[in-house]
Amino acid sequence: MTPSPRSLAGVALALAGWQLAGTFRPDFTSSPTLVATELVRLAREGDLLPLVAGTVATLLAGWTVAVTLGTLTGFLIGRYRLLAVAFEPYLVALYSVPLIAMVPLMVIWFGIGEGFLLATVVLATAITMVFPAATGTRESMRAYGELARAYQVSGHRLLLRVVLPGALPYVVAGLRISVQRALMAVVVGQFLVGHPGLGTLIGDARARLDADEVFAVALVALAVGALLTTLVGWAGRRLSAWRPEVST
Amino acid sequence: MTAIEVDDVGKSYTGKGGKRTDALSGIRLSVPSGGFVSLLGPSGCGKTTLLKCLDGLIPVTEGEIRVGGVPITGPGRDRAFVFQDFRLLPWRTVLGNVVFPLEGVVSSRAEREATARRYIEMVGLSDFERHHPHELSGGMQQRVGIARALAVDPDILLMDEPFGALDAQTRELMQIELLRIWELTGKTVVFVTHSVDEALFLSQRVAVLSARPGRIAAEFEVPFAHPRQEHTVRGDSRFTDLRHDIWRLLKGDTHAFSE
Repeated sequence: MTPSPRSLAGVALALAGWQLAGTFRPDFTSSPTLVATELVRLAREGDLLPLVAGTVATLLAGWTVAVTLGTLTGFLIGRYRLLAVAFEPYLVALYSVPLIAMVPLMVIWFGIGEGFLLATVVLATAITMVFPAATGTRESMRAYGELARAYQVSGHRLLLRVVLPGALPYVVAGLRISVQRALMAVVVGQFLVGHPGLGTLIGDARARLDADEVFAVALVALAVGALLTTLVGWAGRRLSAWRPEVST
Repeated sequence: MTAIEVDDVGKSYTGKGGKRTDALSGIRLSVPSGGFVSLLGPSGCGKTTLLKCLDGLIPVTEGEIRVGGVPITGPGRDRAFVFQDFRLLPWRTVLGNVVFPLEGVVSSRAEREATARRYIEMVGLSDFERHHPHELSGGMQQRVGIARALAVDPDILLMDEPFGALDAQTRELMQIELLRIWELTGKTVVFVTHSVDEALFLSQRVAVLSARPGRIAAEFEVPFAHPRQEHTVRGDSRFTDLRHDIWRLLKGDTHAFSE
């Protein structure tokens, strides 16, 4: 997708406004040129790139585990009513607990190292896959269950060739939400326990009241988020090209 | 020879609060091997329920259904179902959809695809085997549904208002196509429809169902020999008479139902 002249003009206008605001209170609003200078400084002097790489690596590791666990759980509660009745209320409750409320327990269990970050990402993210996968599984059975029965398709063949492909558009929609939530979890996790990464960069900059650096790191986080979402979206479209996207 | 015997079949549902609803009651029907029988009736009369009972998708609560003399306990490879809403797998191509019921049955992939292609050709879709369902018109999608049913080489085709979702023109073309395929393959067909014209044009016998609980109100033999020509059948005075009789029966029934 190429940006239209109009949206480019909009971006230019916003940047110009920001630059103008920066001439009055640079310590408060910073400005595009100051942020750009800061980005270059961070990349040169600081460990911006290794920190970003480390953050993304943790995120991807946790997200992969979370997606596997969450999708499997969602499939099971979507497929077996008994499991849904038994576990769905707890899962719904877990979904609505703010991430921050889980952090103390995670610290007690996992300390403040890499293990803590991974656990936080998994806990915050797996749940976002459960409901799309459960809905997808139910929808898939509703749409194709009778067909499968009429043509005596059952067991693993039913699972792999009917239920899962039918649920895929829902799972893909869940992937996009979950990758964003994974980024949030890892950054917040780093911020809260001071584990080196994007979150701690923001934390340090905040402590020094350095608006330039806060904006610069936030921009980097934004770019990482946008890149991940785009990649997942692209992969999702490849996977379910046969059908318009669904939103959940 | 008799392909299907429906012996005093009833189907009732117990709803919330233990309230019992009879969908079908005392159904007796015999479908000859290689025959074409239509089940005709107003919406809600249970004709689709009866067809699903014949396939074994829905268990009966009374009586027995025998296919080839053997009571059925569920769906089987001797029967294949064609759905009103096509029920294709949207992520599979035309070929993939027709191959679907053969997977796990025919072990050689080449053999599965050869079989599927034979029926795809029979329904006239050879140029579209790599297309996905959403790229096809409704009529073409139902052709895929028919090819899929034929691919398992069943003795009996159970068709649930297969052309109900199609526009009038496509519907007539599909009827002619279906007769051609029926004459070519010699399958036994049970065809559910609410269109009197469709039932008369296609079938050798029309069983008219009354409204809930569904019973067989009457059976009509349709005297035209196959292969049928559309204009000669529809223009024939016996066609008009039969049409009139069935309409009267249906109208009377709807009337009785509303009282």
